[in-house]
Amino acid sequence: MLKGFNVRLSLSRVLLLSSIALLGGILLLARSTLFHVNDPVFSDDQLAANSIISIDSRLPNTNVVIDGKNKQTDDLFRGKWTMFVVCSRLIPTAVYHPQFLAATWLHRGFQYIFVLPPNQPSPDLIPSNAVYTVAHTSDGVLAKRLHLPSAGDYAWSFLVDPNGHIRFSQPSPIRDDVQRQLIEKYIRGTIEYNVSRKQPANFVGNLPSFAAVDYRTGRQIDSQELLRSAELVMFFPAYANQENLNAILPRISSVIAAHGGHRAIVVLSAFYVARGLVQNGSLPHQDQLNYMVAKAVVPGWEDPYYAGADYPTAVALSVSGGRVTKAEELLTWLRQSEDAR
Amino acid sequence: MAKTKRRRALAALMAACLPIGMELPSRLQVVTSLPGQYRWIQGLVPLPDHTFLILDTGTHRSLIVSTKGEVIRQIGSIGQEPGALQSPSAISLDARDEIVVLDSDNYRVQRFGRDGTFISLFPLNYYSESFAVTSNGNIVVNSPPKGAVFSIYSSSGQLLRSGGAMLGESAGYPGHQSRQSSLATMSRAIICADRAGGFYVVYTFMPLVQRYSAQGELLWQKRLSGPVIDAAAKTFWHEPGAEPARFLKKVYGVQLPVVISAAATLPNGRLLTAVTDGTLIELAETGEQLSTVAAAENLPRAVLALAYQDSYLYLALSDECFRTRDPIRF
Repeated sequence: MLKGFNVRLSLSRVLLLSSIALLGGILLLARSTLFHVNDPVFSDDQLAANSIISIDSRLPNTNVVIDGKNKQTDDLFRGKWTMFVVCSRLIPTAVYHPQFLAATWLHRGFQYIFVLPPNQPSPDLIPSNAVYTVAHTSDGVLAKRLHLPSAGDYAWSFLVDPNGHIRFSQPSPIRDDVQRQLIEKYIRGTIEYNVSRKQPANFVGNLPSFAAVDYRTGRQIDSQELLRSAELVMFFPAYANQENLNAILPRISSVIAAHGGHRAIVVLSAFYVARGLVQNGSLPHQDQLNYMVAKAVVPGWEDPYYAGADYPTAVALSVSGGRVTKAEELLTWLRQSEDAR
Repeated sequence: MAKTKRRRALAALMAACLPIGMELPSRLQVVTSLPGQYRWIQGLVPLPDHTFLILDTGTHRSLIVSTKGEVIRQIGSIGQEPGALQSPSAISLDARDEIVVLDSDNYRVQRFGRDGTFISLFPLNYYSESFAVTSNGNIVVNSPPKGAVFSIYSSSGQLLRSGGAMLGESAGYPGHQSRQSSLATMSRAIICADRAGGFYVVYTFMPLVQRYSAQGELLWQKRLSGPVIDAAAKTFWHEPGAEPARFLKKVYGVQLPVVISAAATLPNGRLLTAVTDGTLIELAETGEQLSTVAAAENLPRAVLALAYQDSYLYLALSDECFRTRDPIRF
């Protein structure tokens, strides 16, 4: 009896130990194969402590709504590099750089997706020609899955590779220049460290080489020809929307008229404003302003190698004898020109 | 090569001939040095082979460069995987000749070989901008988010102890009240290893220096003094007639004028601190305030890192480096 009891006890111990081992194995398997969140339960030495989810893990597949259609995030991520930002709201300055990045890296299969609560943001923040995607999801679904607070202002950022694996995450917006370096590192394989901080001053003398298309004739010209045919060249950045242009172009037109009709060229960024305006044909003051649409990123002005948060500004270049004699921010030039009248 | 050797020998000879007691000039005279494309240098470490280890926070990497600025090796790049860095803000070389980096925005400490290979890391779980590797191999991290001025870790990352009372404004500015809400901010400090296994704590927003033993016991506390410090204090408190702040740092969403922007332990064990206007103040190992070196006229911004190599003092100012025009002997 006693012997039998001992045997039963040993068996129960074996069963207990086996159960613990099995449970441990399941947990280890789950930990290594499923996503794991940066909380004390799941923290490990290989996880950057300021991240949300460990590298090589996957975001939980979530339903989001894009243009009224239901999509699964796993499907959205497949085959593309994705900057995936889950946030409580969008502000105008938050969408410029994503627009720029998405346009710059579109050809390498990059996409930028914002995920917002229902009814966010206001429609004017999503222009028809936005290159970034705005998706909506029911409040708190991702937050619950990721153990993140969803009250108040929040923004969680994830860089997801074409296999759906996380390469980078943090529970806050990623600074513009960090995004740039991350995308260059993972998509291109090299990071450009030699960035210019000197725009618009770096235009004085000569213009970097770029091509633009004449809005009216469709003829392509290069930057040297552009300089030979103008006394004033203005660059409008990608984030200048139609409202900005409508407000500023009449003032520019007045200044040009007061100066006896300078030969003025407006160069529109290759992405964002340009596409929309060219398509709907609504560019104003075409009698005074010759519009060009840049074919690609204009080097030295809106290339990704500018410093940190220094967005490319609208620039006015005074040209004489085919050379740039003065480069100023457009608004500075405009105010001075208006004062001088 | 032979020319370089001759130049080094000449520099060493010149340094050896400098009269004792004339170690630091009354005014700093500097020339540009270590040319390169940097964004925000926060670490400058002289290496035994006469090269430098530069920590460029803005490009999330460290570089080993020659005195001519030639990049010999890059260590790390932006990212979160082991070996990648995010806004690293302090760097050191330990006794094993391994490179230790405070990977600030990844909340961790990483270790690399001199050839740039990743060796190991340990998490901090809080943000810090300064640390030091002591002569006994421990890593001392400025740790206000942990409720202590410093935390001492073993070389493998085991927390040994935390210490240093969190100080408020009254500690550095007599006559001012300390606010409980500002303790974590005012306890921001630069950590420098001393020669005895202990370390100095140089406060960022107060003209205050402390020295601790290897065990973390406070040995002394010194409030820096002099006209430059008085001017910096006026700037900090926005007093009438104060000079505009030269270097502001955002902490918990508030921008504050930095008072001491850099510090380094000299080969003779003394501590050299840089006030944000570029003035250098030297402290003895006993805490006695020694010489004050007036700022060089051609230093446009605050000094963010200091290093002494081959008889010259090197200074990093965000995206460029300078060195003293003449050799200095310590």
